[in-house]
Amino acid sequence: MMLQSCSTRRRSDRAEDGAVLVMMAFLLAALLAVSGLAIDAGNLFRARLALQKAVDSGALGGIAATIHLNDVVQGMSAAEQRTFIEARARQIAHENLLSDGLTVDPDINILPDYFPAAAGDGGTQRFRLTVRATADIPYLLLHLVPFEILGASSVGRSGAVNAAAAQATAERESATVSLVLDVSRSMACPSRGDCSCLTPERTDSCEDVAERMGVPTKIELLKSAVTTFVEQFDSGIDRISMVPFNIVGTTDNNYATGGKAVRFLPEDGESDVARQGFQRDRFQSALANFQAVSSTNVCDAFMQSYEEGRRVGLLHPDDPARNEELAVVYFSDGAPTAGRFLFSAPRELPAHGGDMGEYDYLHYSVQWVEADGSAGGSGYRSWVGPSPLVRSGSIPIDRVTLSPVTDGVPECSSTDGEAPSDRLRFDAVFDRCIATMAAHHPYETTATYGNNYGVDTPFRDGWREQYYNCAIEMADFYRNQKATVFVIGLGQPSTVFTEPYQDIDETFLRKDVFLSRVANDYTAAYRVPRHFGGPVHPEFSYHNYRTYAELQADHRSAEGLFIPVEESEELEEAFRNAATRILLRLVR
Amino acid sequence: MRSIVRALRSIAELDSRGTAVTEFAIIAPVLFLISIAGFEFSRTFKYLEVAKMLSRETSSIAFRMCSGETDAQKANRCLESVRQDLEGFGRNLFEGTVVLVSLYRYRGEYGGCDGTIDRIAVAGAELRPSAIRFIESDATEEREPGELNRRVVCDNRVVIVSEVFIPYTTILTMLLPGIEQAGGFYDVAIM
Repeated sequence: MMLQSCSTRRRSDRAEDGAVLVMMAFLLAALLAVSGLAIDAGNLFRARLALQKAVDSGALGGIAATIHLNDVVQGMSAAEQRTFIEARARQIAHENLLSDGLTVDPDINILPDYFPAAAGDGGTQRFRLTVRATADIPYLLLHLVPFEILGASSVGRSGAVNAAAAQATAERESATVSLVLDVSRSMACPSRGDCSCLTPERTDSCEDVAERMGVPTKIELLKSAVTTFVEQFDSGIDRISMVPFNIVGTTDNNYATGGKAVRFLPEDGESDVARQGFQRDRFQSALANFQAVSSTNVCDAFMQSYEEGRRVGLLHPDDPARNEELAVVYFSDGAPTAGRFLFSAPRELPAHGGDMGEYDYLHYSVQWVEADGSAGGSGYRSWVGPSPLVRSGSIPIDRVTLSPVTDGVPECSSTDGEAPSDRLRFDAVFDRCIATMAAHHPYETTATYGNNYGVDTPFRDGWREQYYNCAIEMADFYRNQKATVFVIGLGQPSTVFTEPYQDIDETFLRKDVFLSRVANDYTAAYRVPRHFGGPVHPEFSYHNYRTYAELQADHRSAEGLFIPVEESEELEEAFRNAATRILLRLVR
Repeated sequence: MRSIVRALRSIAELDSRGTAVTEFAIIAPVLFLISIAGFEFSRTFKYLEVAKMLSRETSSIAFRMCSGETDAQKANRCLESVRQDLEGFGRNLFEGTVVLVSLYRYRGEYGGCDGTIDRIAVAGAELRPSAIRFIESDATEEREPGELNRRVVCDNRVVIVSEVFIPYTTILTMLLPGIEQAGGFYDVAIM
């Protein structure tokens, strides 16, 4: 019967009484061991993440100290700089670890290593900072695991020395900068007050007026601002060139002033391969020669800046992907008053054979002087000139006289052999000249350039827009060559919103629509105030103009920065700001 | 009497056939909890890693793009755009992620620490108050999350701090409705 005690269970069954309890005991021990290991693993993982974050921050922060603390670091010797930067890196890494609750001895566990990498390893010198960090993690059970059986020998067994480690490297690549600086006539004005010293009715020169008022002239303030700018860079690693411009830009001598440009190294001769570094004293002497005269030819200035980069092999017209990334800093205090005309389609030059491709005309306004030295009227000159925008390098131009040196080019000099002494005769010559060019190069006669440049149509209206258009086209072209354009604009802003040129005949105010577009600064681009229908980004409308949206869609076109400056005293801060931005973008 | 004793004994012996199941029934919840704990454990790894990575990246990008700004409005705009990008990235991974970025600048003689520390901008403050507080201590004892040494800003002049908060609920609280939990992973990166 079932109720008979012990008779349904065999002896073997009874012998297994309590088996589960024993099994559970083993199981529990195993569970505890596994949990211990899991906790150790978790600790290690957490420590590793914290260390990685700390070294990343330390490396970047240390490199950034060379930029933000440039004024502190400047006066130090190389060894002092090294100690200082390493101390900054250590401090930042330590702070991150503390905020994560990881206590380490910063002097033992955090090891920054700052040095300029040698130029031998693949090219350019740059600043490099490596930060290593370790942390001791007390193990619960991991030190009992016999890792040596598997071949590993680096796991500490007694209290876990160097249990977790991390490393990060940050670099500051070398900068390549081209300064394009407006030294036109308006820069001679005193930094305060109006510019009446430039009007024909003036009695004193601008320098005298400034001295009487006790303020510096704008060009003086520009010089000190540029000096500050150059000081932010490292003369052993960074490359800087300077193109002062007014009626033309040049890297030999400034055409109108005799002021000096500063070229990329090497200056001349030796080789045509760019070297790293620049010479501070060259900037000092060049700046000392600045004089403010003549008009503002923005377009040519950009061209010269581009060609200087091309001269030393930093820029490759046929293979822009190989270009060095260039930062262009364009400074101006007014609107463009000179420039080139662009034609939109290549044309054959029938009477002269060969495919000349597109080319453009240099056009600017001048003050004529009579043969007896007295002031004549004003007029306009025009020459054919090569441009990197067009493949017309086959037309060599003498850059001093700006006349073509090759026969067979449709020469179009408004002097037509002699200087016209009256405006009417000059105008006739000029119109004929343009007509000659037009005949050789028929182009769209729609409102492309705001006018119909036919053979017998006066063409003077709308030429001022060309100066703006050319500057924008040149800046866009430069952007396709991997340049980023920073624009520093000085002056009171124009408040005309009815057209993008913001009152084309006014040339002294700051034209923000134009300047923002030159920089391709979409974020802070000039916005039309609400009561005029804004906020929008006003766009230009010449043929082949590319809108902000199109530039944004083109990944090659870098977004630059427009820095408006109202008072000349703020110029130094603006240039320093530009330098900081350029350097920060180079931190990797 | 003997029949009662016998009956009792037999009841006790009858139960011995089910002891294993009963024991398991007692242990089962414990085992269940342990397995959930294991699952949670590995889940926290993911949260931890994302929080740290997000704060690191935010600081790094914000530093490169915005630390040069001296104008507060532009700095705010710059930080806000970085913040939004990274917060969006974080939200794709974990819902409810909040990212804050702030820019601090020390105004004063370099070397000292007596000048003011300007908070030039703090992006994201409307979502969650920033927990950053500056303390004077050089000591290395325990700190509250968000406490930073003032000296770091004085010595580095420009500092970007990014905070990341990822709310975290354990599985158990999800299974048992009614338990409120306001916890999460909070990480700070200083650059």
